Amino acid sequence: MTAASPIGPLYDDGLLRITWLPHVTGFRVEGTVDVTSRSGLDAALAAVQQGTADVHVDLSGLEFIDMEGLRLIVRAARDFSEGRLLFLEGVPSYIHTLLNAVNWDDTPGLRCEGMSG
Amino acid sequence: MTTDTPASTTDQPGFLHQGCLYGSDDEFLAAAVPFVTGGLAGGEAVLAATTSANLDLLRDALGQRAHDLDFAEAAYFGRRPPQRVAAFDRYLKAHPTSAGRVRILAESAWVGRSEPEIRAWKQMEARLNLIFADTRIWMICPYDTRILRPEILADAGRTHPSWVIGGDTLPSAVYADPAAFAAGLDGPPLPQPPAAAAELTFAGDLAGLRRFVAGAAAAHGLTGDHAALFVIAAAEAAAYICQDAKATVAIWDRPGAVVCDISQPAGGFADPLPGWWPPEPERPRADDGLWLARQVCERVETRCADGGATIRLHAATRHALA
Repeated sequence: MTAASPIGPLYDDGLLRITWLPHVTGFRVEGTVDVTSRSGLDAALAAVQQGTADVHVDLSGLEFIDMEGLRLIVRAARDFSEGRLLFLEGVPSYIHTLLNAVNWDDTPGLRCEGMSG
Repeated sequence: MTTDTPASTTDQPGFLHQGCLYGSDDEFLAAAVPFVTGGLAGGEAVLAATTSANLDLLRDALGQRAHDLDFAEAAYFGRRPPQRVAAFDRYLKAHPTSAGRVRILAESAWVGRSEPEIRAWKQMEARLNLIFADTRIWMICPYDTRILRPEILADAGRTHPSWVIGGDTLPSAVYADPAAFAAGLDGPPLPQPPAAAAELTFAGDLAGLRRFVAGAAAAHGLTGDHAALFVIAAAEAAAYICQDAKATVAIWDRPGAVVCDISQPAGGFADPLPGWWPPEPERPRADDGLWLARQVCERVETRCADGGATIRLHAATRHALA
């Protein structure tokens, strides 16, 4: 991605905005992931599913996510090919609590910034 | 009476859930040591979740073999029943390759608990029989007859299909249907929300629901992560209970907690144990969000009455943290 070929947001419905990260494979998630916006997150995860590089997902701007939104992230990490990792970055502490509450924080392929394992 | 050796008991498929009454250190060890050493000898994962005094007894009795045992102090291994179920599930999933069974010595902390909490722990003991029915867990739950009330010991017989006495296994003559036993301990009907409660009619506007819950929770002193988690719990509860119908959401406070009711005038719960099943990434269940709510709230009550259904969430507000 260069300045000459600006790439717009992956998804933006006013509630949820997903944009590519500039220097690594991955994207930034801002706003709210619920039943009305979940398809945006699903599409972003699908867009990086076929690559080979590790994927970085910046959640620092995530204000709300529901159970099915968490499931999309965890399943994407599980579906990665062997050795490929999904890094969750800027993870708000309430998201740590949620991932721990569903026992999905040690999902193979998932690395959560600030969490052991 | 049947007499099973530990080895033959492990051959039975599915969840094994046994009560064990003990009235002395020697009686505790007579049940615990063969259970633990039998598992360790077979290469099985073995966890002892019991009192610190009993953990010391086990350590001394096992000697070198204690190095292979996982320890947990009962009072901190899940502070409420939903967290205890999650802790069991976590231990099970942490040992996918354990040969044979995953053994757990699981003593609950009963002393000093309120009546509603004691009922909740008894309900959990019953629900474990359903939640873990298809797992490899072999769980023995010790009950200290020196300190526990007779009614707690009697209900252990209703929630455990069998007893361990020394090296023997005896079926419990009073074992009860788990869902029916748990439902029977729900306690009195939930009191109505107070007149001063803030109310919202929810008909699918999730953003509006989140704003309402966040605003009311903040007004009652819930802040930061606690507020974020309470909003998520309420949204999941609303999504589960409402489906396509309207619901009434009410929020009020009581000393030390903010309470949120989500009720639906028509309809019940499709599942007898809503929100008690450990979520699996690949197998979505309609009540997975309620599991989340049970984990992050201080207490979650679910009731069906007069043809309708209510989920009541409690979040602690003025709790000092150590």
